[in-house]
Amino acid sequence: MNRKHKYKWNGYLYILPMCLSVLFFWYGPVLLSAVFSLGSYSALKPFQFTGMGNYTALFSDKYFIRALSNTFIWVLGVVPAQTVLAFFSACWIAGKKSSFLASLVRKVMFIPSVASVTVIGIVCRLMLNSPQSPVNALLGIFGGSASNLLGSETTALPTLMLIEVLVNTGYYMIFFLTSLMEIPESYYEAARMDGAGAFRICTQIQIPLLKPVFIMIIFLGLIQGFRTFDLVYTTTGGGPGQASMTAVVYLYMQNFKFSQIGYAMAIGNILVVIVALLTFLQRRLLKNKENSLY
Amino acid sequence: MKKVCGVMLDLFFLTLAFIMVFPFLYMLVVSFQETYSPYLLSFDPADYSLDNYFLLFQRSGFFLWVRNSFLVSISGVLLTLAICSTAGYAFAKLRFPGNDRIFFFLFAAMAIPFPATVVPLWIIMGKVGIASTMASLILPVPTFLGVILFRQAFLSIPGDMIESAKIDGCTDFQTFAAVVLPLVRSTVMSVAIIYFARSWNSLLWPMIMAGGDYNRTLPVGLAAMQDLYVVNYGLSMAGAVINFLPPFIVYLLLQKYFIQGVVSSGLKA
Amino acid sequence: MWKRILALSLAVLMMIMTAACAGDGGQQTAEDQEILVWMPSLAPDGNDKEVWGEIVKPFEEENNVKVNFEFISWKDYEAKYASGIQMGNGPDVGYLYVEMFPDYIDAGLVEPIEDYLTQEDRDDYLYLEAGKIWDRVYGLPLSIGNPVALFYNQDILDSIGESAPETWEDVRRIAQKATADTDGDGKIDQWGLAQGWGQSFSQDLNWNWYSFVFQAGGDLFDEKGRVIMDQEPAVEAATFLYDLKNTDHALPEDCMAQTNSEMFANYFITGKAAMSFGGVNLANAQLLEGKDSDFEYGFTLKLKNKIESTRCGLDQMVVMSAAPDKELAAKLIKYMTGPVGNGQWHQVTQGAPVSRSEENHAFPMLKEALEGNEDIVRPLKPALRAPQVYEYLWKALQEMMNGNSTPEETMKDVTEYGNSLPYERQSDSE
Repeated sequence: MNRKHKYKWNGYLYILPMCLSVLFFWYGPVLLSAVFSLGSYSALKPFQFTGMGNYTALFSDKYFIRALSNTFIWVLGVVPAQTVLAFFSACWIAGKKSSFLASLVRKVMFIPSVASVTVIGIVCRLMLNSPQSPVNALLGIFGGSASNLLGSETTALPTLMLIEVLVNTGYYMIFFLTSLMEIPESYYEAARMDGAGAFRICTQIQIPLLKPVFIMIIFLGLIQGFRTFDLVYTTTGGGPGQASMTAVVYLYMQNFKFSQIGYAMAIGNILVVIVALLTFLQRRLLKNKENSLY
Repeated sequence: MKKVCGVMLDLFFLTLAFIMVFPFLYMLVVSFQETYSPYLLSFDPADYSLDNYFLLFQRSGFFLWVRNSFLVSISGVLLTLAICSTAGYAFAKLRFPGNDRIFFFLFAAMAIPFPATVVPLWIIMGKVGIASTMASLILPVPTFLGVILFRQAFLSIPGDMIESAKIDGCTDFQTFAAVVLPLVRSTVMSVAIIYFARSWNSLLWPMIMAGGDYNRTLPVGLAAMQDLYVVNYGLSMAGAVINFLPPFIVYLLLQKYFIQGVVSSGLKA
Repeated sequence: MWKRILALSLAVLMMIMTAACAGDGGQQTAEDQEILVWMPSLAPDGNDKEVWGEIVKPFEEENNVKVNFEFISWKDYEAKYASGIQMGNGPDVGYLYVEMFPDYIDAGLVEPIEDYLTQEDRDDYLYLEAGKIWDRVYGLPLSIGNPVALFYNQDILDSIGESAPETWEDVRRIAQKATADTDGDGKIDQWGLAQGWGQSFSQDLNWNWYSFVFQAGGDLFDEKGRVIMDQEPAVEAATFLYDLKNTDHALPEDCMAQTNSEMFANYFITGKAAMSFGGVNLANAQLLEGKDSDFEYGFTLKLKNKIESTRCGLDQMVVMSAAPDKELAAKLIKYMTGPVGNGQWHQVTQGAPVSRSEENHAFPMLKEALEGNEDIVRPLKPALRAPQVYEYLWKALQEMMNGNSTPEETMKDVTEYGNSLPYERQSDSE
């Protein structure tokens, strides 16, 4: 029976709602924004076409360059950190099976993911910004001080990145965990009988088997990283100066505070292009043999 | 040595978990006080009260906002489950031309940062005429992430299950709904939790679409209450706590399905 | 289990339908007109809706109209207005602050209210002149906001043998002297000035910047809207601020992370700083009188460099051009800002009267602050694209305070930026 060649046309029906949704809510606006980016558009004034003017202005806009490089730093720092931390957390929890401690940690780690990032930002800001805050007291024991972490140019961005990692780890950890728990116990037993220690088990069994998950999480992390907005906006607004400005925060300010909508749209389009390129690159590099993401 | 390593690791993760939950404890503590400075906190139980919460409940739109948030989030989640599970199933198990390409095409949309779409979207919504309605809040909830998750889950279901269902005479949809879907319960729960939290906590879009208290969601209402110059931190933390509770409760209720589903799927080789 | 989910979905679907239908534009009965007002939340307890609901009841009855209030958060205020206007569901009566006016006037979105004012009105309202935008009265002020004062800790001043500061030299001298280690443990625990530069957007310019430029005899914009901050007054102001932090080291370390209000609460109220600039508002008054502050304090609005001058806010209620019944909208504005409405409003907010016939419910500090100082307080001058300039200015000032650029460079940079944006008015407002 040559089932393989029989197409299931009703597949289109299944994906139709999603396609419509994505087209209407994402691609549609992006196309429109591409149009807007070719001119100056303000919510209060009519559109004026200026061609690629916005894009050339962007490349010489030192604030944009700074924002963009900050975004790259953000992604390069946050994604590996949260992936690694999430993985090891999952390993540890999986290893403990049904211990109360593990299940508690597992539940607690996910909590930041169900909270509003805006609120987390506000609370973190409050907790860090004062000499009387408990965090400062704690760091004081080690001789450090928390109160200017978000105000100093050198530490503002890293602090935010750290907070982001802490928030995201629990979320990604669940993905690792569910996959880890699918690894049959027999594999472990076989490995132990061969005399493998924890390290070898990890590197030779767990990591290879979880490769698809790694790829997916790095991807999602990349995408989320480039889109990062809420946390930065509510804590430092990109400051002090431009130290913690990221691309999307810059976009937002251009869009809403300055009413330079065409300019903002240009930023948005550039971001989309960058992420699409990275996505494409990663796909190429990996040339997926195992099925996984695509 | 191994023991020490083990204990150190335990300590590490415990500390990590504590750090992650600490802000929420702080939030809770401040919410019980009336304070105009976030640091002049008192740890004297005598100063603690539920006043801030009562103040919030008395806000004339408060319960309306809560109702709206529930409406939007629950509908959003149901919509997401419906759309994403079917799409995920199709991408994973159904063969049709362009399966991969379309998948990639939709996947790429995730790269688009939301603030970039806001302005065109509100223009479009305005023209289409559904701005300031509930629908405008609910319809954007499903994103492609759900499809990815479902597809991932469906991929790991062996073809024989589906074959045997077909042999039993099920149509595609029956196979989908009655046989395959129950197997991915953990994914369903994960998607539900994630999207409930997301739509509950979203601030920018509902704020723009809010036409009045009739469709204002809780976070938007709370944000509007915060004065620029006079901030009773206790009040805003109380608001934050209330806003946090529903997604948290949903999470508590459903999270046991996360792991349980995997462990008990019974399909292991 | 699936049956239940199906049932649930159907139920929810029905709810959505009813909600969507009910939500479309709100009820509009044939007899009742509606007026939509968009304003920020200003009541101390956040209960604006209730308070205003009560205040406008007589107006509603008399004019057979329903007044709907929407309260919008400050952070996204401009975004909400812009999107509302675009989507066509903006308000009939708006509340704009001076930074917003120019763009809105230029785009023809607001109506000048002067056409609806009688001579009585003109005589009664106190701040009509100050609030004029480009020589026309567009809106009526609801409250005079946050006149900026220099607060000082009398105890600390006494301990260093100083009296209340009157000039910039006084401020610097006092700041230098006050910054010291008072308990002999080798660490500085008292500072001259509690001033915060950590705000994430430009709002803190209110306390940290404008007044100083005014006092130096200058302004940020000229009449045409051109940025003139590369001129002496602004440069002098920038140098003053720069020196206080980087030369006199009179500011605490974490001043770059905290907002000005936070610094006020954390350092000044706790008695650790000799001076702080802030608005004369209820919150600060409560902090100063509260249980956490136990020192003698004083304040002055009369700080002088070349002239005495300080910034105050003068937000105005205005008729939006999209309003179907402009006369009614104007009437509502006069009601809300006039002695009747505002009298009640200011009872709640303890604000100062904006018209002569209004009873004075201002809290004591505000009463004291405004007495005799009516000529010193002034709002900002309007200019197109001002919000952009302010945001840029704020970030530039943050960089300057961090020592990354000199005052001259910073002012020059800001001026160049500001003037590179188009600021000429498109049309003469009709």
